[in-house]
Amino acid sequence: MTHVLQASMPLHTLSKRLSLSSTLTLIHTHRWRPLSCQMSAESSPLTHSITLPIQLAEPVQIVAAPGISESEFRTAINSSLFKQWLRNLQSETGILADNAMSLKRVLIQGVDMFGERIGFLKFKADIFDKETGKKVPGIVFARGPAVAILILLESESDGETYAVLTEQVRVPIGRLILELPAGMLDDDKGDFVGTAAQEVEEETGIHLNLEDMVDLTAFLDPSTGCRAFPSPGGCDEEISLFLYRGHVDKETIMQLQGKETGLRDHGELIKVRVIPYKNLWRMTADSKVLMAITLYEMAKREGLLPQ
Amino acid sequence: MTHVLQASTPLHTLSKRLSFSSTLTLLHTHRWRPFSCQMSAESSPLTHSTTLPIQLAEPVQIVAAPGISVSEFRTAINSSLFKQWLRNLQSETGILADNAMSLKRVLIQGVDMFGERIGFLKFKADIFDKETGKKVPGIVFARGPAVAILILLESDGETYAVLTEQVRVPIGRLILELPAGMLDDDKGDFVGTAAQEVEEETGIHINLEDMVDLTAFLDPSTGCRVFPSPGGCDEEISLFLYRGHVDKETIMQLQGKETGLRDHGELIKVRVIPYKNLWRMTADSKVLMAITLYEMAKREGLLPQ
Repeated sequence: MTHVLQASMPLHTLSKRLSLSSTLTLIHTHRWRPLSCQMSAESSPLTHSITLPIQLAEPVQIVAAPGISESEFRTAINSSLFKQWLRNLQSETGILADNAMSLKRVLIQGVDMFGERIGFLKFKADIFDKETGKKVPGIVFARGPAVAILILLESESDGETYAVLTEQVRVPIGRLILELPAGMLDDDKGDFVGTAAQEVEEETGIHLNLEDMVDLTAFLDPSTGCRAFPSPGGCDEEISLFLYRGHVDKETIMQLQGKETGLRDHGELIKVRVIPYKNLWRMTADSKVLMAITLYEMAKREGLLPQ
Repeated sequence: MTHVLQASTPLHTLSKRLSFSSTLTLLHTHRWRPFSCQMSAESSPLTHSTTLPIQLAEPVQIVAAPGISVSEFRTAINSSLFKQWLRNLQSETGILADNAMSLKRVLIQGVDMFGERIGFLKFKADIFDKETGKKVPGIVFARGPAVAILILLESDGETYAVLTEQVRVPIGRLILELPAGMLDDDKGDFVGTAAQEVEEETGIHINLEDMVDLTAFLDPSTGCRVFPSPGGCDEEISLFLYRGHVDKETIMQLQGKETGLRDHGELIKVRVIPYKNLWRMTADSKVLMAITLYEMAKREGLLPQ
């Protein structure tokens, strides 16, 4: 997707050389400013200019905040996190779609790496309403998409339904919390992957795959984008909520419940918990659980769930 | 809450000098390390040592990331955002409560000011499980608490929900949300830009007295607040229900406004949606959470008349 470009190449030449047959082919063109290598206390900030197909006449300046290294800056700009955000802005339902608003500048404030890959990105975008000149609040904590699953197990002996949840310490809220197991869907195979997924599969013996799940967020009106947004005022996070329904014998449930009361396994940071579904709505403060319950109950009420 | 202390005062002397009648009186003791004012490319990082009552023997190092100024660092450490997070850790249900875990260090990565007051804080906390030595994921985007209101207006037998619609840069699009803001401490008024828009458009003055706390129906073990994104954000939300009656004209007026031209510079629009369609018309977690709490509370006869 990225082409090697000369820093001094004018834009119209770029268009011809890159044969822009479709605006979607090239998400943006790059212009790297030569970086100065002075060792003085005041060195020029790292900057990078990009041009979005949706606003060809107004290049966007991406700037690194003090403290961001060159390597972090490049990783941030080239990350799928950042590219997806730019894509969202330019989509049919995106902020820039009707050309009433304009993105002028992005300040990269923070890059959190999880080993080799980027974990979180924090940046500040300057987006202006063209008519009024007003700037919309633009601070973004970017973490990308996730999936979460409402796992309902019906016990064969008594017909009681149990929800399978994960419990772990969450530093941002300073406490333990019961959550819907969340992770990612492996692109190729549709397997549910991630540490929570692993724990749940190990404890319940269930292999969670896309084929066996119902997409609850797909029941939302298309105008919503069919993903849930936990905290749209500050975070890019979008979640697909799935439903998995299965049957287990009473022993499995008792085993899972028994594990909870036993000693915490060495170094076990994520615990699997089972909660009777009828009590679920009041037993947790996790938004993923409460959102999934709404979508499940409403879809059930309207006869939308497959058999 | 903060006492002026000498940088060199040893901890045991501090205890005597500050008369520790209750561990809750003093959230933490401060020890400011004198920092160097060298202008070289490599200056010592800003650090601040604090001791939490819950782990007196293990002071916590708070460090500023490169790029954080002295003023930002002090603002961050003294902010209610940061103090509340420390309070949460040490509460009965907090991570540090049973002394199985230990907070060693906090790296202040970013401070976003909204004028004079702090808007967001970003930091990385090193919290270890004492038994295994494992560190729990500790990156925090802190924005503090909020309240959001499910406003249901009945008109002509039909119930409508009142929502706000605005551009949200993090998700790159418009979204319909529950009006959210803060509750004014003294008077219980719902305040903030969304609150203002809603009150202006509907003519309703929303006050704590007229609302039902839906999050209060949660089991006490949950803390009775909802957490939109507990894996990365400190945000906790109280969800309230406001029920009112309006005449048909008010609803039509509100709906009429939507189809008209966008007012100059109007960043927040007020929208009315028939409640029966609400669950599918928005992807906002606040709306979906409120619906569950409202429907379940209603089903179980918990809502006051």
